[in-house]
Amino acid sequence: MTHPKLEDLALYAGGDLSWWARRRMARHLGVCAYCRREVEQFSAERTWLEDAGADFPQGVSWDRLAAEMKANIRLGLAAGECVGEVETPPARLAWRTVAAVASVVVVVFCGWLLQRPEPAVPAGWVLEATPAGIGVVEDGRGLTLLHPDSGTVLLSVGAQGAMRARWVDTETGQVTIHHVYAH
Amino acid sequence: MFTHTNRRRLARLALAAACGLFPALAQQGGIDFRSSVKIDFPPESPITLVAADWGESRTTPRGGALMLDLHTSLSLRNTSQQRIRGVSLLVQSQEVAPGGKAGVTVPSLNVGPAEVFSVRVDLRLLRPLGRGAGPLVEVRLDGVLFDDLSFYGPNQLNSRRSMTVWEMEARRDRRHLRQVLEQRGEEGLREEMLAVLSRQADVAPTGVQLARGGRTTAMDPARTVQLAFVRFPDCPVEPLSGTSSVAGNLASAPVLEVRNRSGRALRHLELGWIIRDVQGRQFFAGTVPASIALAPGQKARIAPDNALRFPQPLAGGMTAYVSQAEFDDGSLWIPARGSLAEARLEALLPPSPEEQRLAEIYRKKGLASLAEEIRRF
Repeated sequence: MTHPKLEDLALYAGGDLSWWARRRMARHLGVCAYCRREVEQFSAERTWLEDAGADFPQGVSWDRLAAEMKANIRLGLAAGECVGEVETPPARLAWRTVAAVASVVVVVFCGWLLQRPEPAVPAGWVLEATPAGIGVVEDGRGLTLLHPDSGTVLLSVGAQGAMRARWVDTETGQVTIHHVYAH
Repeated sequence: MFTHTNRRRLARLALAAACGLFPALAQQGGIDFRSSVKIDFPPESPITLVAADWGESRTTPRGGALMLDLHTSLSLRNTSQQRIRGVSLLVQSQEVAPGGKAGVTVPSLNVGPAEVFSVRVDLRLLRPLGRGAGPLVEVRLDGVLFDDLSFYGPNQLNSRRSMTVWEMEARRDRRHLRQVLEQRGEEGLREEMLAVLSRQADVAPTGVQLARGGRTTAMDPARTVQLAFVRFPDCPVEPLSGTSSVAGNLASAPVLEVRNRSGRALRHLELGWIIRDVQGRQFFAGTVPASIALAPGQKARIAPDNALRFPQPLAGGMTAYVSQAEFDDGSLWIPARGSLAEARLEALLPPSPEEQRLAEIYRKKGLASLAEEIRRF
């Protein structure tokens, strides 16, 4: 016996099958205990989901709750400003502490300067040659002309924004030249 | 917390929810390759499309994008009365690469009237999921070069100039090899082919990137390098000066000053560019083309604002030479083989497309077949 697909059983349990499909399914369920059990389980799960939804507190206005939370946040900020600045005695830093902090800052700055990551070539189009082919790539989109995996492929680059790859087609014996241009 | 029963319930609910998702996914992946590519040849074209085979094309989802590998072999017929020496096709995708275009050219052909030949188009498109209707790629004819060097086509990729230069190089190299065969016999021809195969093996590595702007790095301070020039006696252009900045593995395109020393106006020229890496190896980095109107005696400055990134660090020694020049009437100049040999450039330059084709005949079919091919035309 051929059983219907599980997704069709799920749709039947939810009453979402078309009239004709529902009739055919009902005929199958009349003779197939296995599928009947599946449909019963889907129905039970549907009921479970509805019951779980009923656990939320009744009569809650979600919009009102959100408005109250926003008001509390604003009130907290306003209350903070009312307190005003607290006067604290001026800190007395010893000259040794100042020198130590300054040294650390100099070391960190020099380290950053030396280890600064290499600036990428400016964004926009890039022409690139990979083992698979040559292509023009821009913003995650790309057009690549593929050359064969085997055999010698000669590459050349035109500094005005062009790239070429050429090889001999092993089937036809013809030289094929691919070009990509960025403008 | 999730009990075993709850987990099972959630899994089943997820399955039930997915029921509605399957058709959408099928639609995303359901690419019809024939309608994805529009092949458009003008009605008066000297070549016509006989058939297109879409054998191995496929789509692969990759994150939020879809990768389309389109492979086709186009069977084309020469419907003109002349022999065809080269064909160039324009490949464009406004949706995937709006600023870019591509081309597939087959030079060194020898296709007679009514004969059928094939051109492979293998490309990969990366585009965001769920975009687009209609053709993703357009393949159009850009040009056909005949044996009398006449040309047909819209020439959007400057195929006329490129294919004419390759045909001139092919004739120059075939003439040279015929002379070698006559003077030194098959053994001389073998030596020539071994030299071509050796140059071919010493090709520029993959992993090269070309991008707009010539900025350098903070870790490797840029230094300006003066270019040395190779000068050919019959060259219509005289290179006067040139500099490039190098930092690590990044080289900005050279800034060059040239003078037209011929008696004819020029409209395009191209310089070859040779770089030395930190291991002392010299290699052909690329070309610096420039479309400039240059009257006799006039000087011009060429300064492309692009940078090349190589896989290996560069030392800085650079050499440049004029590799082609186009006069105002469309005629072209290329260096003679003797000039390249005298300047000891031959060993550094990649073989011409015709040398590459002949070397493949030698490698696959042997010396006798090569000699026969050279005598053929």
